[in-house]
Amino acid sequence: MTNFLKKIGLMLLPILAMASFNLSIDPQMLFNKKPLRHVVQELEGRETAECYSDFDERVFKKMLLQSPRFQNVDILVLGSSRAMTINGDAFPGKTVLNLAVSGATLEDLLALWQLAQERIQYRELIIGLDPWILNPEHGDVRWKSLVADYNEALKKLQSDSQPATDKSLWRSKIKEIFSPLYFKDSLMALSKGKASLLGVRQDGSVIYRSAPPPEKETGAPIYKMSPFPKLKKSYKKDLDLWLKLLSKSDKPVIIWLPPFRPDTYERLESESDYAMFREARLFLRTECERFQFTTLGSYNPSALQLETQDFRDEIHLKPEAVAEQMTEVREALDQREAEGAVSPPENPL
Amino acid sequence: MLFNSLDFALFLPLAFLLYWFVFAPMGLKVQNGFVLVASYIFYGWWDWRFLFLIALSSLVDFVVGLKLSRTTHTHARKRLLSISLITNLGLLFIFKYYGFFADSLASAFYSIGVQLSLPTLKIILPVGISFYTFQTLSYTIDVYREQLKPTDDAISFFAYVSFFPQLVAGPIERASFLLPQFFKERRFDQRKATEGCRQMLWGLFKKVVVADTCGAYSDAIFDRYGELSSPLLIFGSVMFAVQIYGDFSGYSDVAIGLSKLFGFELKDNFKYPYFSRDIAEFWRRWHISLSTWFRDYLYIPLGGSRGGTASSIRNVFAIFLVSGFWHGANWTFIIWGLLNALYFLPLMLGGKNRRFLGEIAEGRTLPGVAEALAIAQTFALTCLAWIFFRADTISIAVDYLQGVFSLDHLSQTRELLNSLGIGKRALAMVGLKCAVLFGLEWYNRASSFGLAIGGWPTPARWATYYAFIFWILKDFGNERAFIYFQF
Repeated sequence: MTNFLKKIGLMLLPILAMASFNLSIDPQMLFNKKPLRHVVQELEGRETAECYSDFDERVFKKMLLQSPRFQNVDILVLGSSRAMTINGDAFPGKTVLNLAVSGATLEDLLALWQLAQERIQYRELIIGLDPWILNPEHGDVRWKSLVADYNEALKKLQSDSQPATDKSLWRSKIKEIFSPLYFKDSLMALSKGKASLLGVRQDGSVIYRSAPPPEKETGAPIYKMSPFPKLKKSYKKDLDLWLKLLSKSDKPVIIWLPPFRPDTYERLESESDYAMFREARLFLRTECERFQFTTLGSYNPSALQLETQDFRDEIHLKPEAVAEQMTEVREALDQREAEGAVSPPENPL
Repeated sequence: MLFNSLDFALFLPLAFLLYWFVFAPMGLKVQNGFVLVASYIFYGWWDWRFLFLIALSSLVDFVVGLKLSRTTHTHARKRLLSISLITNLGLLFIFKYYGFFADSLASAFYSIGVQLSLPTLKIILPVGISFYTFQTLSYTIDVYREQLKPTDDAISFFAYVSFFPQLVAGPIERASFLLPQFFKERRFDQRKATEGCRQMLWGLFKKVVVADTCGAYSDAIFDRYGELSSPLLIFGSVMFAVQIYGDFSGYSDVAIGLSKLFGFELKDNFKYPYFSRDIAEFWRRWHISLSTWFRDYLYIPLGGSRGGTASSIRNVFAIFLVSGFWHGANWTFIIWGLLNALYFLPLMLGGKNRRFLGEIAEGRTLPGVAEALAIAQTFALTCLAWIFFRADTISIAVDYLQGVFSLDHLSQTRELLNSLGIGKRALAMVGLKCAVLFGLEWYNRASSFGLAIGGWPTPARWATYYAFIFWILKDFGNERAFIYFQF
């Protein structure tokens, strides 16, 4: 038996060594939050800070919310990576806090909104609304970093959705630590040294430092849009409750629809795989109309006179194009301020 | 609890150490008691409420077994056997088949213009119910037939019925083989334990690396079968064939290997079925514990092949249809069984069903051309039948089959493949995984599992272990349940 256990131990040794190495490098900051705190601290005294690896954006945004700088902001931005480059330059004279996170799901939006409600005062809210927030198969567990805040948001909405646990997040984190792919990431992080992947501005928005990802093969599934078997009932209900609550608040809300690249939009419009995109768009349109939100932008790039070269990849606008799109948002906000309230423009959905 | 889960990765070392270091010195009864507790924890991890079903089945068969030993009266013995059959098959019916029968009856009446509203039961299917029901039934039937002495050791009997390595997806172990092992002192055998670890590693490779990859592709293709071209539909059914084999035989390998770690032996459940040269051979190599169960408790009692041609045909259909129905309450499984019966019958009627009893390409590295063609033909036939097994309804299966023989969308195959998220790299990777699986199985086809590499030089052996461990860890993303849990 001793001999057997020794052999098993010997067999497990390289695996444990790999896991320890992964844990010590922790390229995606799954366990080690120190570098994140460091970035937040750096932003206290500088315009931008550099991120040298992938990181838990949810936790980062939560940390930002603790900063005394953001006790009072003019504009709060929620959304996915498609809204992550919205920054203060687009809104001169106003303070902006961008809480958009990559691949934001409805859970993310609710959790970050809840956190903002709890910790800061904001005057206006911009929500970058993506169609996949209604997809039951989005397969993202990153929002579980904010599980307690999400559950709190559900309470606030008086939703009958089941509270979530962070069990699957912990499982996936532990699996990552034992994953040879994470080992590869650790090695790369080690060898890369100080090559910044992403710049973060004081207002929480990001500046791309790396080249756009390589183009996917023709016909490859569109990010978070396939599979998209149906609109999840509980998401529809919770979104409805949330928008209802927002509509009752005295804080102006702008819904911004980030456009897709022309070829991506064409596929979303025509391929049977994306039938639910069309359903989601219809649902979001009805909701925005029902609650009379100012809705700007459009999933359809041609409605905004955008062309392929305005895009970084199939779903992300280039930062300068985002800034341009924000002109309309700024005007709408200015108008609202001047008039107290404005009737919503024609719905672009 | 899934074998491919973090929970199990913690459960196994803990159970192993407690079993050998704490409970083994306390005696066999305590050790068996621990097996029982561990098994109930293993099962209850999924849903503790269904533990009462296993306990009830075990209790009924334990008591029936004892009572059978105390009476020689034929009527009383038959009554006792009926109690066991009604309880076990009754539970199986309620939990697995009631909905199907209620729906089928309602639609039959509807077709003649009668609206029938039967009460519906909104209950989930208890994991592994078909497996442990058949396992415990084998005990009562064997005791009834006086082929097995009943036990009065309740703990051991309950542990036998719920033995955690094979509780939820087999192999279905006969009482005559597994139960006596609970009464013998178990000593740790390093050679067996090492072999067990090797077999577990192989099983996890089949499940995590091969089956789950192929499963993702077959799911994508079966979900969109209506828009895909023939080559993609063929690819989808092949992927499902590999998935179900890797998934199910992978579970059996882990179960057998795990049992060895705890000093138990289980029977082989798969013997490289996709190398079979005809369907008869396939059925001697696929899910052996179920096929032999049906053979011994259904086919032979019905008369087997000893009667005339008509009764032989009837018995073949009976066994294949029941086998199909055992898998699930859906007409698709029945058609799957029927198809296999149709494949098998010509062989049986022509007296050719026992042509291939020996090893494939014995003493040779590669099969001959005729053998290779026979293997390919058998595989093609099984893939065709798997379409019915995998499809949600018969009409989907029929449409899928029509698509296989259609020329529609042929020119778009490449784009369609991309739209499924299957690029060149993904195709190469799935090809490599299948090649490793079937290559090693072919190489080791004389052994009981594909990674029987005990005879290899130590460096090669360890390098192989590490390669497989890291491959499993790399692909260990989703904890995807084993397909056969639902049966």
